[in-house]
Amino acid sequence: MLRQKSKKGKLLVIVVLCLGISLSLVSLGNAAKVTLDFPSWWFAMFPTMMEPLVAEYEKKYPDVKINGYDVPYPDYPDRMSTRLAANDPPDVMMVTSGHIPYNKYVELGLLEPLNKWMEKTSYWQNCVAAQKSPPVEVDGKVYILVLLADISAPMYMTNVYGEAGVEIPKTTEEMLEVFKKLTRDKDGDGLIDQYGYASHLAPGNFGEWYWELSIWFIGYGNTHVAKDGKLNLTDPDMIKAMKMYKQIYDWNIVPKGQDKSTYRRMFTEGVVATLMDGSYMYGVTLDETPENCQYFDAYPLPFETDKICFSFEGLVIPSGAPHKQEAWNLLGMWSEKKWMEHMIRTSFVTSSRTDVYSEEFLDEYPWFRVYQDEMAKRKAIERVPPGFEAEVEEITRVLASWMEEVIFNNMPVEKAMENAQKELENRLFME
Amino acid sequence: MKSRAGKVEKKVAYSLLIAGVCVFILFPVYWLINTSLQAKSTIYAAPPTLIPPLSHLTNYVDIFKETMLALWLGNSLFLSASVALISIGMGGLGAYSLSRFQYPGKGILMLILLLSQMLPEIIIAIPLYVSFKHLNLLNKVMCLVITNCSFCIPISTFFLKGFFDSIPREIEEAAVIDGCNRMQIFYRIFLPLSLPGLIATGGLIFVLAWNEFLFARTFLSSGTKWVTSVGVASFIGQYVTPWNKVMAGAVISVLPVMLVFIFFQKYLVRGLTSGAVKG
Repeated sequence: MLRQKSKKGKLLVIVVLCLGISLSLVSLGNAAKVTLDFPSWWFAMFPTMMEPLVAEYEKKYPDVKINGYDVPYPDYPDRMSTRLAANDPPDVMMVTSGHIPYNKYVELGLLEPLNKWMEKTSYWQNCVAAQKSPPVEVDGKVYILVLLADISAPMYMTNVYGEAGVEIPKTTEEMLEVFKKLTRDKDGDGLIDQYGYASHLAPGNFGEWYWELSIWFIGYGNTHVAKDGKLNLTDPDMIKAMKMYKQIYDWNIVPKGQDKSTYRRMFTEGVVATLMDGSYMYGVTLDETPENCQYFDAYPLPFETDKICFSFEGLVIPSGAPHKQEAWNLLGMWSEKKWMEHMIRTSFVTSSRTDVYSEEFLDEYPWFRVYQDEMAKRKAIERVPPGFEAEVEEITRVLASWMEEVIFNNMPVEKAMENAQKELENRLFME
Repeated sequence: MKSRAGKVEKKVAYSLLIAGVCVFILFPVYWLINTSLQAKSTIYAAPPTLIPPLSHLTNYVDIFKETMLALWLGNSLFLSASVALISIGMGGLGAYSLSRFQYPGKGILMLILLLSQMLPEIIIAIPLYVSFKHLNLLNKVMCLVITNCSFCIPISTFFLKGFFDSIPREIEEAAVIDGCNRMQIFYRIFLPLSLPGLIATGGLIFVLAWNEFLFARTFLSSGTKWVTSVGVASFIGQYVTPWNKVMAGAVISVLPVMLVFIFFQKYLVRGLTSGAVKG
């Protein structure tokens, strides 16, 4: 009787043990499943880029699931800053020059250096110089995987230029003449139907002002609004560029008061003949007016200097990210040639990887050669002034507000730049 | 005769002034509707199209097809109705207490309620984010209900206190003689008598919760959980913004609020005036 009881007891213990082991195995299996938190506006903007990438990643790493979701572009900086401040960072984040304060994140130690992973990749041997220079690299540490390095080159529609009988300009003076000729009242009703050029000329939006002004002052030779750690808004090249900008406004060759989104649309419809913008504008044209894609073309920047301004977008891993290795696996995969090729085909951005433009691709999209050549030939200068990354918002606001005085109230450029220089020196506590 | 002509002149001038103010106030609304009915190519037309063709009513259909606007409207409705009901319920009890009872610290309590309205929302965004994260409430509309209630309950308390103060104490005393306890007095006397005030306060809180953007943007990450204000703002893109669709979204998001006002208009007018003067 006792024996029988102890047998039953043993059996019970074995059953309980088996159940326990199987349950813990199940829970272990569940614990092994990692979910990678990746907010980005790219999920809504470029689904054809993101969906295959995510699918391939999840196939390659079956224990990892990517929770990729859309955070709208305008909201992104505030949303990410809140998450970082609340110590709830995502695994992967996007950064862009001028829009997301990555420099502050670096300063506060919120981003993980990527060197240990990145330097082992084929990407490292084939990336644009900007990947290895400030502000992407700080004290030898690379914090950002640059995905795209967009330069602003003049783009146009061949039918619009052809209709007006103008040639591709080779110098700044020629370009301005072309803009004048392309500004036309086509139906004779006394109103302009087509503008030669479009640029930001609406009050209030300092970021957009700075964006457009930088194309001109960098193109005119001013390395930046700051040189060797000092502000140089009164530099002769700066004055020359700003005077030209004012002339463009006075000549009435630009649609006045329009925001960037609107004049980009006007360009896709041929109402604006020339735009200085990134290669992604082909993608915008494809979405807005696909019938005009056949006319889309670009030409080299006719400024006499070797400088061209650029901006970038990239990926970072927050230092507090829960799954850093898995996050890098995603960045590493994205930086591969295959996915960078896929990126340029789906978004038409200028990739930071230089070996992705096959002859087949360039034959299909010949205008892309201009972007590729310009990036290779010229010295690309980031819009955010080196050494002033943390003060960029202040610089942007001050420069733009004084340029508004020039444009709308006819203040002499020299005076405005002098005032801007003084105001910034006072605000930034400089000599 | 002269004075009659002067009176007519005065009337005309007064009418013109009113018309001018109306145009000033209504022009942005007109421009909103006008832009929402434009094709993408006519938005920037010079001179602008002042009477848009109705054929572009499709903008309204498109945003329902292309986005989750219907879902966002539902989320907003749930949020605003919940906040309005909770705020009225809790604020009503608080207001009754402040209006009818005397107890130590009552003045300080009112000051604290007032202080809660002076706190800029952005200051508490991160602490609230951390709290909701620990409570596993992030990315749930419920966290917005809680946040909005914390701002709206003091508002409703103050508003309703004004209405309750205007109810004569004699009615309350008569109810006590008739055998009502405190809660019965609240439900049977105060609430029915201050119905216009309750509706006016509820309407105001509904609108406040409907338009709230900062917390909604901070706490809700998934597109299926967004409210209308966040959803419509998401139309603004990195490269281009479909302004006609942004405006169509804005018009649609304004409609429920307008309906609330139209439906409760008579109560709102009575409510806003009756609480203003003590009885």
